[in-house]
Amino acid sequence: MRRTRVVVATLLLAVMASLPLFAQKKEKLYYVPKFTGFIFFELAGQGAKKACDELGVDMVTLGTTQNDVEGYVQILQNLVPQKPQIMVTTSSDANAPVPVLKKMKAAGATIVTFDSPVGKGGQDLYVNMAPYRVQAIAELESALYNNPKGGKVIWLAPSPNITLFNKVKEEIDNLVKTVPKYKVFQFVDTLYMADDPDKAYSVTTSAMEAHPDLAGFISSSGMSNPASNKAIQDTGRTGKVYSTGMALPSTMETFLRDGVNKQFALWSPYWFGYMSAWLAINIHRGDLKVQDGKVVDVPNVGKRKMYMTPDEVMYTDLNMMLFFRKGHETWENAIAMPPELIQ
Amino acid sequence: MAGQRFRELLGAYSWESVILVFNVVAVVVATLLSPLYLNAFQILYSLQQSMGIASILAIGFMMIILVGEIDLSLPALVAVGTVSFARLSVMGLPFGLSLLIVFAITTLAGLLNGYLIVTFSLPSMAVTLGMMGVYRAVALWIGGYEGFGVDAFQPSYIYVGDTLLAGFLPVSFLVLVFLFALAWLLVHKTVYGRLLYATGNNRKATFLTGHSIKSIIVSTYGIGGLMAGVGAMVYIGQYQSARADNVASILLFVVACIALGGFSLAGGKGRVIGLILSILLLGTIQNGMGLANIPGPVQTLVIGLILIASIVVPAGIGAVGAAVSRAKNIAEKYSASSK
Repeated sequence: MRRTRVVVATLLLAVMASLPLFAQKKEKLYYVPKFTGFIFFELAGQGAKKACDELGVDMVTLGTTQNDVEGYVQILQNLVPQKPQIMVTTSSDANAPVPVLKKMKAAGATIVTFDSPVGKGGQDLYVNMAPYRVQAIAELESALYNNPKGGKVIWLAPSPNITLFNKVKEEIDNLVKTVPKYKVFQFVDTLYMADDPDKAYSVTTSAMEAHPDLAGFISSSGMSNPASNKAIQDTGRTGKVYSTGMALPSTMETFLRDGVNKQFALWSPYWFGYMSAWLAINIHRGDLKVQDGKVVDVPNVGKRKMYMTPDEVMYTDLNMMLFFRKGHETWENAIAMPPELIQ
Repeated sequence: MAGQRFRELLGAYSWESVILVFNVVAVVVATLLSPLYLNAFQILYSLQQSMGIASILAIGFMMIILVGEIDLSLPALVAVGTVSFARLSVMGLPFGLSLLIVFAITTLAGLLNGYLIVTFSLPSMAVTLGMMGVYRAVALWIGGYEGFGVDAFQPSYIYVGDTLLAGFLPVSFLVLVFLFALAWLLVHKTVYGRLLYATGNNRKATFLTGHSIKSIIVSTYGIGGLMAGVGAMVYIGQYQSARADNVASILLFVVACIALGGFSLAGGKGRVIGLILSILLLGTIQNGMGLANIPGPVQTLVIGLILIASIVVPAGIGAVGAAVSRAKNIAEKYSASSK
């Protein structure tokens, strides 16, 4: 009897002694990009880290080495038993991760997606880079800056089923139809390069053979633009054909210098990651309510509105669009897109 | 006596024993890596989620590999299956009817692969590589650019891949156990199974015993196609997504399961138990590393190293065995000549 009591007391003491260990545990933010090792997601991760540091949260980065949806979902599945509380993530399939994300949310996780949203119920909030229309304008403006005559252009996308690319293309089609200065563009084809630079290089090379009068390529893909610019340079078409849209400045520096490209655009991945993590942490702590029409003041970014879309996903926009030109090649000296262009 | 029997078993199942030891090591390491690992429910759920579809495809792949052929188009056929299920669900067909239709489509597509290969004596690698593109295109044609999300599926369609019986037992796991039992019976307990090995080992001899090599080979492709259909059924429940690029990168993993399971790409070698053990091993490793939040590149590296080990270890065992017997021979000769 006495021995039992001693054992019970010891156990209780041990439990009590270990309690502070749990109590002192910092909150953890899981950052799970589509895949790792790509500069865009690395920069977004650095931004997320900044928000974590400011708000006193530990950050764990997880991801597959290649763009593989099932591999990505498997990482999430392995997270479920760890009961993640705060997560910032992005998937290349809007549907496949939803069942497991719902499971995490049921266990109390706050999930903020960025770069591309998942289906309804999979996230608390989606941080959009900019309204699709603003992205479309940034890309068309960059194309006009490269060649004011517009001309025959080809749209490049990674694969046919990525929401972001399809929505931006829809807006581009609208703008070309309705805004006089964009009527100079004539889209002759859409080509897919699977987020693979080698494929982008060969696809754009053959497209230039197939369309001798081609004026340029436009794409929202930061992966394809350096490859298509290289293809233009290698085939001696500098000044004749352009390739623009969205791209990472570090990958385009030489093309700006050599005059292959005169202007391209991008939102800042760093502040993208920062804003997503900042929102996720504050929502999780209860300091911020997700609500249709509510305006949030995000440090370093500014005031942004939350809004519900028809597919029942709550959006907010980063909306920090930058133009890169010769002499303005870096994040620091890039030109902010003039607000009057947005109409 | 028991020792003798044990040694015989070990001799006959030497590769399976090696994989079994690997499995034990993997479980121990996973337990040390993460306190969350050693939990029967966690293990069951995780293995089923990460390995279920690959296992089903591996069963089909195994049949084809046993006769010395290959089918690279199976993952593309899964995509044909998922988008077909989604399309039929949207059209309002009951699940049972869709099941028959989809299984028929994928089985026929598999049979078509086999038919092309045997009729025109074409290399299966080339034919199925081509058909992979064809089936992806068909999937794109059926599913459209956007594919389908959860809203496309009637509840009965996602039952198998999504339901946990009593809150912990995945229905798809029961399907998998049933399929493995069936595969084991078929491969190891029937004349058909013997013929698979015979075809893989020596086609001429099998032919001379009066069997149609062509129909045996075509039948394995039919089974492969059927398994792709079953895989699609599980996929739509598990991911509630149907797109032309579903399971785009599963092929190498399935081949890894097969190679690690002791099958020879030349055919006629390997056992169902080896396949099960290799799937368990790869699943345990991924689960353990995933729970420990080990970064993706390291995980890929570890899996790669294990695959290399799966080639080096048996080769090493063979080399050591040969050296030992050579030494024995020399020793015998020496002792004989010294007498």
